[in-house]
Amino acid sequence: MSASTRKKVLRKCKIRGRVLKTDALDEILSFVSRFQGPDEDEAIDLLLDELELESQKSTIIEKESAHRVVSRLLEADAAVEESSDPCPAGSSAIRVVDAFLVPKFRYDPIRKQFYEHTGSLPLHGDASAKAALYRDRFLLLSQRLSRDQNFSKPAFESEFSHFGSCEISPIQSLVGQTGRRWVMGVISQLEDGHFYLEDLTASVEINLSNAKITTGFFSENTIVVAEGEMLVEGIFQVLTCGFPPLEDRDKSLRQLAGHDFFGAGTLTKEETIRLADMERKAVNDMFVILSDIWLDNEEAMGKLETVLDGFESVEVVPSLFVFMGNFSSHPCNLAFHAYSTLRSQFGKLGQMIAAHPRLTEHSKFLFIPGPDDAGPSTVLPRCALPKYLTEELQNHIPNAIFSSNPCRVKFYTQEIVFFRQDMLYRMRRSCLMPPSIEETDDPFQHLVATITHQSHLCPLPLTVQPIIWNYDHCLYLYPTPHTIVLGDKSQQKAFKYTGITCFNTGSFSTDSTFVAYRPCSQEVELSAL
Amino acid sequence: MIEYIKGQISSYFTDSLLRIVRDIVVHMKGASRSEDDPNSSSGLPQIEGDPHRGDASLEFIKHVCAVLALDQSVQHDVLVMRKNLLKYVRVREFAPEAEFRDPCHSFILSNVICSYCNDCRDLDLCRDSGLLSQEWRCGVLQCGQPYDREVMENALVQIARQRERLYHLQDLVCLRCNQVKAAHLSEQCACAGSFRCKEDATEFRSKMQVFFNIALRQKFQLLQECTSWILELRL
Repeated sequence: MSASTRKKVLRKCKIRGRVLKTDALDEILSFVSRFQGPDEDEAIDLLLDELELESQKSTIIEKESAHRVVSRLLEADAAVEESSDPCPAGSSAIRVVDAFLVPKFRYDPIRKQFYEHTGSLPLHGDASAKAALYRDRFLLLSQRLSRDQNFSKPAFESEFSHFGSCEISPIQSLVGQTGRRWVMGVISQLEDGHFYLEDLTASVEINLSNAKITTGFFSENTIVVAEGEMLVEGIFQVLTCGFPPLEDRDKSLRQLAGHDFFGAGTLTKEETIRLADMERKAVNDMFVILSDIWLDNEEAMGKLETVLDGFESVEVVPSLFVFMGNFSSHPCNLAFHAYSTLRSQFGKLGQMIAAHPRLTEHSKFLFIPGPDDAGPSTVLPRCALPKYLTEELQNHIPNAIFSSNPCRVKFYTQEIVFFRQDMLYRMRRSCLMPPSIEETDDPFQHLVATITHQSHLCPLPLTVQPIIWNYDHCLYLYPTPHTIVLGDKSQQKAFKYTGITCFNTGSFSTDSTFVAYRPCSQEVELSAL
Repeated sequence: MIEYIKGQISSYFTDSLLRIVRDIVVHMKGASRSEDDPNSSSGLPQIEGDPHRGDASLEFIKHVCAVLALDQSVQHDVLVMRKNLLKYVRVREFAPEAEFRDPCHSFILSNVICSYCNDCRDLDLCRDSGLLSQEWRCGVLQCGQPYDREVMENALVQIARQRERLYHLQDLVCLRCNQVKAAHLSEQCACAGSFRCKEDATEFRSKMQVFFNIALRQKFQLLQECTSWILELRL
């Protein structure tokens, strides 16, 4: 049996264009020997598919990668066998990933692949970390752009490639050139009042006065693709300006070669299919998201009580309640010092929730701090609320989760990102020119377009919103998640943009608005009291 | 009177200090030879943030001269004596290791207002002997009202938050030409030098450590949590 199996494995490998090393072959054979008959072929196919996903770049399959895939498949097999229960407890369905635990991946432009940064990530980086922040953002978007059909380099030199070719030229090459060129760069204000486009090679001053722009907020620190001409004075006259085009989520995932960008762990193909199936079947799961819950405002607490009472009496209680900050009507500044009162107010909230037994038992509670909440810093990403404030609440509700801002949640295979920041107001203030009204008039849609095209939750200049230099990757939206939840004090809105569901819950304490979200169908119910 | 002191310094003090320093040097040499360990030649505990901690004799000279130099009238003579003593231990007079650094940290909390007598003053939370006890009381003799703990804790928390934010907003300076970095994506200055932070991470952490120590001593729980997160201390 082993000789024929051996030949079979080698033949299948050859068809896929791979070369197997002898020790890798032994590993594979030991795995395949567990299966008999028709299962054998299936097992070999599955194994080779997984190996293909693992080692995309090299044609030689080594023992280590074979061993990794084998052990993964065996684990998945064991897991499938023991969990005969098709619907696991809600606890494993919802995975909360704290921003500080998200793995950091950097793009190597020479090898053209992502590699994981496995060293330490201090909160206070050195000078190179600040430059790396900008460079990594730029590289992320430029590698995405290189795969876009319009901007990729033509494979063969031919007459036709010069028509409509939007090949990106490095800014350094603009010196002494005439004619229309396409460049990609970060808008920076290197001198007062003068705007420059900066890329990895050089920077050039630009004139945006006659530029035709696409949808979105063009502010300092956003990465744009611009077409224009180099003038004699050394200024690049921009004719059209836009954001780097979006890439399909599946296409991005294929390029990542199994790296876990989201932070919730990688899944095998089998597991993905199984979980997607469970996700579709989980019709009753609902998330209730509220933002701006002022614990010191009696009216707001009364409204919250009404909401909780309402959900207590529903047939199937929501599986997750997300409470986003700010938790106090007074921002945390020099004037506000009543922290012990705040602590007891959290305790009262805990009591209020505990007074609803069905919710306490079956729902999870996630607390995300707001920008003005008490805590170590106002720099993004913000860490969870301090234990001093939340101890009493934790006593009442043991399974309350306190997470960072922003926060990532994985529901089976659906990726949801929560971010509590007044992005709309701040982006409107920082943008260089009024957004184009050609496609849409709604500022929220402009905001969604901006953050998705930039693949970043907060593309504001660092002086407006400082970011921890080593933790910029926590704010990335790459590959684009399924859902983005923004907590913003502006009006409640929902918008579906190229398959991404994005909504703003609105401020609960001022407008009494909140959102009920059904993840299985990505349905958003904008609600108000 | 001043003439007498000046004379005393140049004669009595110089002689006795020279003798003491000689004894220290001989003693340290004997101790290091018996231990035969090149690392512990100074025999002194290392203080964080002070790279120029010399050996025992140098430290002795620095401390004694710093104390004696407090009197303005004899400063010149003390400096002469210091030069001679340093020559004995073979340390250059203006070398960085010969500079006296107060090992006690200092942090001044400004504009602290007493709720009872409305007295406004700046408090040095580390060096003021009256504040080393658990309770912080107003300095005015007739008042003595304890300060509001919550207000003090909040003031410290806000300063810690502000410093953390400022660290991430700071400029980068070129190592070679000392120019502030303007561009964002470049890794090198125009003069081909690399960049450094204006306020280094170690400097920042040592300043934040002062806050952490105050929080521990005064049992400010929220401040302790915030500073331990900033310092990345694993509890």
